[in-house]
Amino acid sequence: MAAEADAPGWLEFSVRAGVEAVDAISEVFRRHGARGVAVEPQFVSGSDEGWEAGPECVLKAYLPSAGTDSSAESSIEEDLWHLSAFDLAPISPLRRRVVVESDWANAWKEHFHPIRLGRHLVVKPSWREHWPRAGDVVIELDPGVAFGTGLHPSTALMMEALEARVQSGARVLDVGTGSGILAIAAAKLGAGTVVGVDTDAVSCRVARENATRNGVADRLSIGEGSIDASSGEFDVIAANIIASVIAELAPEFVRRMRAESVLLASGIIAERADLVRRAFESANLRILEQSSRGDWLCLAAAVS
Amino acid sequence: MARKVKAIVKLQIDAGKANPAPPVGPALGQHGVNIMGFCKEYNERTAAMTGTVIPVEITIFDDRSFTFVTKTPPAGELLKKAAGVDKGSGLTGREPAGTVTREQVRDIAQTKMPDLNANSLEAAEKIVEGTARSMGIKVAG
Repeated sequence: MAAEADAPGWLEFSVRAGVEAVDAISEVFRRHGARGVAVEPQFVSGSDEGWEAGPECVLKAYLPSAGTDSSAESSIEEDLWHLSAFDLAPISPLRRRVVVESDWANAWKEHFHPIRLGRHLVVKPSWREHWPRAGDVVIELDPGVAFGTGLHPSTALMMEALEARVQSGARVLDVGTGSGILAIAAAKLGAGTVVGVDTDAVSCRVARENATRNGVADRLSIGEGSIDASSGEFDVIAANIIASVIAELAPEFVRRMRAESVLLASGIIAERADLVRRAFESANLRILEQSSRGDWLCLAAAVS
Repeated sequence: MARKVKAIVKLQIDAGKANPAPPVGPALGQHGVNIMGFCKEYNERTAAMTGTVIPVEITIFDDRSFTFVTKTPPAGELLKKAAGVDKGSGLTGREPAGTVTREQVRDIAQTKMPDLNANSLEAAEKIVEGTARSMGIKVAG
């Protein structure tokens, strides 16, 4: 314990508990000096659009190892034990482990490297070096709060589809733009005008920032809302959303298409592809091409 | 925005004061989330509530992007505010740190219902009352 107390770092205390006991236990940790508590819910079932929280979770609290001795641990243990009088005690013994201080602010960046998508597209985090090959189209993007880092198969499929379908001067609409990755790619691939829309205000802000960073803000406008936040017809419509939303929007897409326009729909998990196919059929959309990666599908369609 | 949920993490942290130190760093770092991006957003959204614990539920997607929603303060914080004390005593049953009324317990239980997995308001009240007593806060009446 003495050696641990000398090491720079933190002592992580954790317990398993029922959700009803979370606030009582976190209060105990706070009383002993923890400046916050992490609660990790345990999940019981998953679907393609979310998980359901189970009745238990793990609570973790941290105290600086310098100045925390074994008496702190036994006194936390004692206070937790007292909670049993109110049916709020943890369901596992208190665990302790040493967590070495690390550069948490930057460590996550290790997960991101430049990624090559399609033949010429490269998505590069701003802190990474990349030496482009001839013809490379580089998109600089820092992952943050908005979806679209290029790591997801549905985004990768869409980047490939855009590379194949966007022609010079095209008018492109990106529905559910997220980080703006697809809209920026379209602009960099030569589109004349790109409109990105997203119902999430934070995504809109991030997409605008990313457009400016990539020098395409003059050709790319971002609007808050669904497809209604755009106007006119488009040569290419990109929709990397989810199966149910794509199916629902199918007639709206058609209204924004001409005979030669192409709709690119991604974010479709294989088991829900039929839902989209049926919606396309009743909206008079004919599937031109289908690509897949893992469980994810991307469909290219035109008005029949 | 095609996305699959990879993990959900809840943090009970001080409004306007998130930083990469624990618990934020280890909790989000293990999922490869942009920690400064989170701290900046959280601090901006909670700046007006500084001085309170504002829990946050972060949903992390399989491309390491994330969203979050803020929640109501933990029952312990609400109880301290209702009792007008800075700190619970932890001295169960002895020297009370403060007192709250049954109505206050009911109000807090109502506020916390969605987080407590309680089937009824009575069950939620029982949990809140237990939390109060465990902190040395007496429930009057």
